Amino acid sequence: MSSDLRDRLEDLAASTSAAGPPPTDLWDRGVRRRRVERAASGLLVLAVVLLLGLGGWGIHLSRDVQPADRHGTPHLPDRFFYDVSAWTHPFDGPPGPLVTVFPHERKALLHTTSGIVGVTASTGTYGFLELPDDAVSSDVTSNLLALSPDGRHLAFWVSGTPSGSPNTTMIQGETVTGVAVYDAVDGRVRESRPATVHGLEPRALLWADDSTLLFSYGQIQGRDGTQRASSSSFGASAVWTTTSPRPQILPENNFSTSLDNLTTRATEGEVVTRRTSPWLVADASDPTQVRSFRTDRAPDLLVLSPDHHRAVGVLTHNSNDGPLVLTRVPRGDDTTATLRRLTLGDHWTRPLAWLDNHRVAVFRQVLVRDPVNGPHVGGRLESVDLTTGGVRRLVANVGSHGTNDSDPWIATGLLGSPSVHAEPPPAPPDLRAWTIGLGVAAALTLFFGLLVLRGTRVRRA
Amino acid sequence: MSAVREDFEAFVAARYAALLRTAYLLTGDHHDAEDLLQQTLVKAVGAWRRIEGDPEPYVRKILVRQNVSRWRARRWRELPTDAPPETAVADEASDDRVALHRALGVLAPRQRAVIVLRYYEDLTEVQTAEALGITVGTVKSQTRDALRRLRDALPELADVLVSP
Repeated sequence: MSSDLRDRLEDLAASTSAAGPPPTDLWDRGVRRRRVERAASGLLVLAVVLLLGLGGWGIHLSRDVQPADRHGTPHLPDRFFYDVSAWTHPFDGPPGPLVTVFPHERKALLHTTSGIVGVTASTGTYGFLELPDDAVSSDVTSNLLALSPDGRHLAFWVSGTPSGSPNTTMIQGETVTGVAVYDAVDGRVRESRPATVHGLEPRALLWADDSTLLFSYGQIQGRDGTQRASSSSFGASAVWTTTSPRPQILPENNFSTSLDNLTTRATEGEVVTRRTSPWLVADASDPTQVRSFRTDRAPDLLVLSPDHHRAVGVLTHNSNDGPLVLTRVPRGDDTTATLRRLTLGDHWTRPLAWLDNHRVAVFRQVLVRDPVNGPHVGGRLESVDLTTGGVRRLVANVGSHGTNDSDPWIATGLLGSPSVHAEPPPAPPDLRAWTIGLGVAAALTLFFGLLVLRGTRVRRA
Repeated sequence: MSAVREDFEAFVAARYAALLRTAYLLTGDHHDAEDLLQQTLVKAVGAWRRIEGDPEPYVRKILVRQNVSRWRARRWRELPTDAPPETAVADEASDDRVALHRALGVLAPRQRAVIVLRYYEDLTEVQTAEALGITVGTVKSQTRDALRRLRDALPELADVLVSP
């Protein structure tokens, strides 16, 4: 085609200045360039890995559990899952009424604490409750927590600094100095901190009704290491309604000094308790008017019916369970009531609450033979119809948290809610394992990067 | 000294001058041509084990692509002018040489590369397309446009500068 163009191009190309010999360091420069490129690639990979890790971490942190519909219809899950992940997300805001709560190990990247898991009544969602840092959750006793019957309020003890030398031996390393109430609907926390020199010993924490908290505490006598460190004297009992700014201290009498979580139960404002005998009954709103009665036999505790005319108990006879017994509650003072053994073949551990005037929710402690975690104490919640004797399972597995005297922390007012099949909560990834994995990946990337560079140097040599 | 390095240095010794001429046609400047060629050869070192035996097509590919990259990078740093710079040519007596040098200067770098590869290196359209990383159709259109612009710049060659 254009031989003239070709000739002219050759002529032009030939006109270029006569170059000297080619540089002798081209190979060395090429090797250096390749080494820099590989190092840059390694750093790029490392940066990508770190960015992915940070992104994953960010996603993990940002994935708080969304608050449930606070006005949704409450449901009763047919089972609870206590082996939730320690990385379970916290609720992002007030979760709404809770059907149950339980203490559980809570892990963060740098520390492990004890937290409180809540299960929402409307959706059955599991999440850690964002309680104050000073909430006491490490001492698993029956009076550690108290969930109101409607599931809206959670009472718990708080730690702090007493006016004198703190006592940390009574409550597993913490000094209890007050009581707090968390509102699961608006997220507010109210605290009451009575004066104390060495700390408080929790004795009772229970709800008389949806809005009335009863609590009782002792004053620890000595500081750590002293002879009196493990003893306490009666401090006070108090009633605190959710509308009152401060608790009302009860006058010291046989009722107020008898309050504890082993023998005290309340139904819609009416409280029944005893220290030894007789049974003491009082209205939580006016606990100065105390009635008493005796029973011909002695169940561990009695649970009053909603109309307050009857009470159920379990005659355990020093064993873990026994038959359900029913009695009419005398209106007069200091009379003796007869316990009627219900003609039921089953045995239970404790009555929990009345579902209505004919049905009672009872707790049956069982030994769970778990092939993974080994045998442990668990329980079932059942409904007993006092008229027909029919038994219906409410919740297949209920934790008793390893103590014989601890009721499950359940919103008893929600036990009559429609039952729903519960699915295990999701298990978020272990952030520490992720971090370690990312660290190993980064180290391996660096290691292989250095290996490549070293290999290049060796080949060059 | 490793065999690979020996092979590389033998290639450089044998082909440096020829590649420098191609680089000069691509850049239009002696210093730029040397820079471009050295960058190209340094870059080729990393792939020498792979291309050993027939390295020239790969080196040529780097040469033309690197030139386009350099032009793109420079485009944002240099002020554009209407006319190509006056560049001294070795043989000043040759008016034809000066004219062709100026004419090539008005071509876009890819058009210039197409002209150099097709008419100086005698590559086929397929080989040119492969070297530049473009399609054969683009080679054809770029060649057509380049020849038209050369015809405008070199009317005395209008008869021979026709599209294939």
